[in-house]
Amino acid sequence: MKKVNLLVFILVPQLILAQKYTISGYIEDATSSESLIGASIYSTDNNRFGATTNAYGFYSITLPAGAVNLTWSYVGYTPVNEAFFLTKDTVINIRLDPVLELEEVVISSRRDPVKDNQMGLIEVPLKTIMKLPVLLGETDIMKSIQMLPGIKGGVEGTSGIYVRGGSPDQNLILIDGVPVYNVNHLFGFFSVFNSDAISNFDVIKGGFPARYGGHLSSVIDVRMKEGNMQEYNTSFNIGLLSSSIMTEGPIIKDKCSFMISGRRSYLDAIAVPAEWIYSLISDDFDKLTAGYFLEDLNAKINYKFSDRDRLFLSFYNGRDKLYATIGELYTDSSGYQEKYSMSWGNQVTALRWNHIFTPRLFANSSLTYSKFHYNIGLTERDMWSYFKSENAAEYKTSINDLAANMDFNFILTPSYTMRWGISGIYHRFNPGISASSFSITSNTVFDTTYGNSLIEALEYSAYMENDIQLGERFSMNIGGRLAAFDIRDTLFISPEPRISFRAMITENFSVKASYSRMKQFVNLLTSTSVGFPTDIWVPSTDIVLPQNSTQYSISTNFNLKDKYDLIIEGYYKKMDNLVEYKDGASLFLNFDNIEVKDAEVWENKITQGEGWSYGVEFLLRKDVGKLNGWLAYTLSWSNRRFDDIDNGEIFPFTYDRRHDLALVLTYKLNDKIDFGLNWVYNTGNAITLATTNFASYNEVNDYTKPQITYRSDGQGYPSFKNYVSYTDYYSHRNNFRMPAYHRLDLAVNFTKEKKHGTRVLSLGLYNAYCHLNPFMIEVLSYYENQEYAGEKVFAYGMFPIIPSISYHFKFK
Amino acid sequence: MRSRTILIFLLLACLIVSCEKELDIKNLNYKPMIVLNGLIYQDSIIVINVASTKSIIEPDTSITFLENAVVKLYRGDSFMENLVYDSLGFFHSTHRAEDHSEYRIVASAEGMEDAIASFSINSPADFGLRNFNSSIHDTILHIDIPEEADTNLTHISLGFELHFRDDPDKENFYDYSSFDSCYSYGHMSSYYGDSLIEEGYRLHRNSRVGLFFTNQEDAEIFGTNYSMNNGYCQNCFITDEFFSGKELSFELQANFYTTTPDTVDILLYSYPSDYNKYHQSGYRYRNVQDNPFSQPVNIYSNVENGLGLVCGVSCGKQKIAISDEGASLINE
Repeated sequence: MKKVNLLVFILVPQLILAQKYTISGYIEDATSSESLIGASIYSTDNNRFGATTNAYGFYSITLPAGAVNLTWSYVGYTPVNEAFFLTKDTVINIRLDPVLELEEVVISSRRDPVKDNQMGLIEVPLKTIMKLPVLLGETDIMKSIQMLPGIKGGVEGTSGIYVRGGSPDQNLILIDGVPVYNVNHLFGFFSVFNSDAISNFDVIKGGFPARYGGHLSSVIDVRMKEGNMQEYNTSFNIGLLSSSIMTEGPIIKDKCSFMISGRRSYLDAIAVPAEWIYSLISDDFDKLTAGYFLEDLNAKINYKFSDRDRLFLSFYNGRDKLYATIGELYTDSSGYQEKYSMSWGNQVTALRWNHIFTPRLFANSSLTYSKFHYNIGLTERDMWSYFKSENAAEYKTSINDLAANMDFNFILTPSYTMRWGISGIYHRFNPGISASSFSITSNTVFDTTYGNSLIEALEYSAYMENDIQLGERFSMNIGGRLAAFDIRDTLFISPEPRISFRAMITENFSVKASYSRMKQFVNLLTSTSVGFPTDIWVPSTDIVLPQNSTQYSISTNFNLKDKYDLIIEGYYKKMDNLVEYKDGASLFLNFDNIEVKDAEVWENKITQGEGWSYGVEFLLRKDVGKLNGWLAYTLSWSNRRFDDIDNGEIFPFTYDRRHDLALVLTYKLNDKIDFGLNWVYNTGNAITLATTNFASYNEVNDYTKPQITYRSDGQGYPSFKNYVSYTDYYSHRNNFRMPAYHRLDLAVNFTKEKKHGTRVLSLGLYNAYCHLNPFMIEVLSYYENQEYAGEKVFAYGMFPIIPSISYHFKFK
Repeated sequence: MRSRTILIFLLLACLIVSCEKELDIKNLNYKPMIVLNGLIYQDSIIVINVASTKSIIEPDTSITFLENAVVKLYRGDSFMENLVYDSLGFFHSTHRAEDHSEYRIVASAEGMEDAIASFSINSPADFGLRNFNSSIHDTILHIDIPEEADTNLTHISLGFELHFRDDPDKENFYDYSSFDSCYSYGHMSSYYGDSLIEEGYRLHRNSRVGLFFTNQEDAEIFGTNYSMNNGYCQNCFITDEFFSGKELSFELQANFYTTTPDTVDILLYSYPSDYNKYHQSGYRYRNVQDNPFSQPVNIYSNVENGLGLVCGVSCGKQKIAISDEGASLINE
C-alpha cells in the first residue's frame, strides 16, 4: 500500500503538468531596472492562474499550452498585456513604466492584504514614509514601523521596537538578507537605515514562513536599491542633524549598475564654537574638545550575467563616535590630558547570486558577513606631577557573523510552490573584554586584560515551505525549519513547525490563521531601554538556554469599497527562556563582588524566565485618494516571570501597554504641496519605581555595631540596632505606570520642479502641542520659601515641541 | 519678505517653548506596611523592632515606630505572650528563645495588614581553635581615653586556626566575629579569603576583620570618631555550598594593641538562608545605587504582608586569654 501511495505521489504531479508550459522571468521598473517585488502576473482569460514576483523580482507561471493572454501589473505602474500562443517554456522579462499622472493618488502597498497568503505582514510604502513628519527632519523607517499595530516604540524618540511583547533582540532585522545587530545611531534616536538607499521593506510579526528563523518576534526585511541600469540619478538631503547624498547609475547599461549613498551628522562641527567659548573662559587645564558624529555608507553593485544569472555585492558600514578631551599636553613631558571615547558600529557585506536553473526553479545563494562592535576608551596622562603617569582603560565587545545560505524556489504548479534552503553561520562573540594599564615615569606598573573570553559557535538551519492553493478559496503555507546551534560541546537542535492558512470568504473578505514556533540562539543583554551601545550580544550556552516562542494568530481581512483595508488580528504568544539581568546585575559599571570568583562571568549575571503576550490589533488603511494613511489600534497584555526576580511572581513587561493608538495621514493638496500628520496615544510604560521607604538595619554594613542582647548567663550577643538610612522598596518589578503618552506631529512638504531636478522642502513640527511625555522620573526634595517642604516625584520629558526643516533635491 | 519674517518668528517661538518641564505625580498607589526586624539568638529574650513604612514622598524623615502595635508571640500553634513595648520601636518577650523551636510573630497595627514572621534557631556550630602562635612586641601605644586615665596598649601578634565541620543535612551560612574585653586597636587579617576563592568557595566578601573594641560609645581615639560598642565586626560571610558536610579550617592572624591581661571572644554564627538572602540583597542594593545601568534591587524580606527580617541565629563561642606571656585557649 505504501508503494502505491508513493507511485501516486510521484506520478500525479507529472500528469497534472502534462501539456503545460512555464512562463518565467523578472519584472522590473522600466526607468531604473529595480526589481519589483510582489508584482502580479495573471491570465486574463482565466483568473485562476496567477503568480507574484518573489523577493528578487522573479516570477514563474505554468499554463496550459495554447493561446494565453497574460497581464503583468504592479500598483503605480502601467500594466503590460500580451496575448500569444504558448508552445514551450518561455522566458519573458517585463519592464513596467511608472504611472506619471494618476487621476487619483495611489500609494498602495504591493500586496493585497485580503488575498495575500502571508499573515502578520505589513508593508509601508516608502513614498508614504517620506511624507510623514519626523524628529529633526530625519526620515526613519524604524519610527514609521513603530506606528503599526502590534509594534511598540521604546523610549520616546528612539528607534527600538517591541513586537507583540518581545524584546528588541527578538527582531530579525535584515539589510539585503544579512542580519544587523544594532540599528541605533545617536543612542537610538535614529536608526542606521538611510532612507535614500532603501528600495523597500517588509515587516512580519506573526505567521512566520519557515525561511525566516533565529529570532522570536519579528522580521524586518530591508532591501537596498539595486542601482539604476538605465541612467544616472543623484539626490541629496540636508537636514538639521545630518546630510546625505545618494547616486546610482549604470556601469554597463542594462548589465551592471551601482548605487552608493552616504550620510554624516555634523553635531561635532556645531560643537566647535561652544568649545572655543569654553576655552576662553576657562584655564588651560580645562581645555575641552568634545563631539559626536554618525556616519553611514551604503553601496551596491548589481551585475546581470544573463537572463539566468545575476550577482549582487552590497555593503553597509555605519559608525557612531562620541569623544571628549580635557586638558592639553604641551610636550610629551608636560601637560595634563584626559581622553574619553565611545564608538560603535555595524559592518554588513553580502555577495548574492541569483540563478534560474529551470523556468520553475529559482535559486538564491549568498555569502554574508555582519559585525557589530563597540569600544569604550579612557586615557589619562599626567605630565605635570613629579611622577609622570599614564593610565589607560579600554572595554570592547563585538559579535561577528560569517554566513552562507542557499534558497530554492520551485514553482511546481500555479497552485503549488515549494521553497527550501540551507544556511550555516559562524558566530564569534566577544562578550566584553577590559584592558587596563598604568605606568609611572615610563615604567609599567601593570598592564592587564580581563573579562570574558571569546566564544565561537556554529548555527545551521534547513527549511522547507509548501505554498499550496486549495481551490479558489483556500490556501496554506505549511513547512518547517530545523535549526541547530553548536557551542562549547553543546548542541541544541530545534524543530520549528510553521503553518498558515487563508480562506477567502468573499472576494473582499478573508480569514487567516497561523501557528509558528521559533527558537533564538543569540541574546541581547540590555539594562536600559535606550539603545545604548552598552547592550551586549551573547550566545545561548549550556547555562543560558535558547529562547523560544510559540505563537498563534488569527485575522480577518476586509477590503471596503476598494478604498480601505481593514485588518483585525488576534494573537497569543508564549515565550520561554527569556533573558534578564538578575536584580542588581549589570555588565557595565558593575562592581559587584558578591560572588568573587564568578563576578566577571556574564552567564552568572542573568536569569531566564517565561513571558506571555496576547492582544488584538486593528488596522484601517487607505491607500487611494488625496488623503491616505492608516489608523492602528492595539489592545494587548504582556507579562513575564522569572524565578530569580520578585520571588517568581509575574510582573508586567516594561512595554506592556494596554492601549496603543496611531493615526497616520498624508494629504496631497496639489502637485506642489502635501501634508503629513502623526498622532500617537498609548498607555504609559511600566517602570520600576520605589514607592515605599522603610528603615532597614545596617547589618550588612562593614562598620555596624549592633546592640547587645543579653542571655541568661549575662553574656551578650549582637542584634540589630542601628538603622541604615531609609531603604527604598518597590512592590514588584515594573510596578509603576508612567503617565499616558500622546503626541502630534505635523509636516508640510513643498515640491518644486527646478531646471536641474526636483526639490522638496519639508517643514515639520514634532510634538506640535508640546505635551511633555515623561522620559524618566525621579524623587526629589522640594522647597517652599527656601524651606524644605517635602518630597515629590518629578517626571522629565525629553522632547517638547521641536521644529525641523530639511531640504531634498533629486537631479533630473 | 513678510512671510519669511513670520516663518522666522514662528521658529523662534517654537525654540523658546522647547524647554524642559517637570510634571508632578501624586498618585503612587502607596500602601503602608508593618516592618518587623529581629535577630533572635538561642537562650536570649526575643526582641523585635516594629515600625511602619512610609511613602517616598512623605516629608517626615523620622522613623514611625508602631508603639501601639500588638505583637504576639507563638511557639508552634500555641500563643505564648504579647511582646512588651520598650522604646524606639523595640518589643521584647519574657520568654527566652530555645533551640529547635518554631516561633511565629504576628504584629497588628491600625490601618495595616497583620505582618507575620516565622523563625527557628538551630544548634550552634561546634568549632575549635588550634595552632596558636603569639608574640608580644616592644611597641607600646599610649592613648588618651576621654574621661578615663591614659592607657598604654601592648602590641600583640596573634595567630590561630579556626576549624569546624558543616552540618550536611542543612543549608548553612556562617560568619564569625571577635570581641575584646577591653580597649584595643588593630586588625585581624583573615588569610583564608584568597585561598578559599582559589579552591572554589563562594564567599560573600574577602574582607579584613577589624578588631576594635571598647566599652565606650562614640569615643574619640586618634582624632577620629568611631561609633563603638562592645563589638561585633562584620567580616566574612561563608555559605556551605562548596563544603557541605566537610570540615573547613582557616588561619586567622591578628595584629593589635591592647591592655593585658585581656580576653578575646571568638564567635562563630550560624544563620538561616533568609539571613543570607537579606545579607546579599542588602549588599546588592547598596552596590547599584550609583549605577544607572543596573537593575534595581529590593532588600530581601521574610515577613509576610510586611517588610523586614526576623530570623533565628545560633552562635558558638571560644575564649582566648591574652597575657604578657602570650595567648592561650580558655576552656570554659
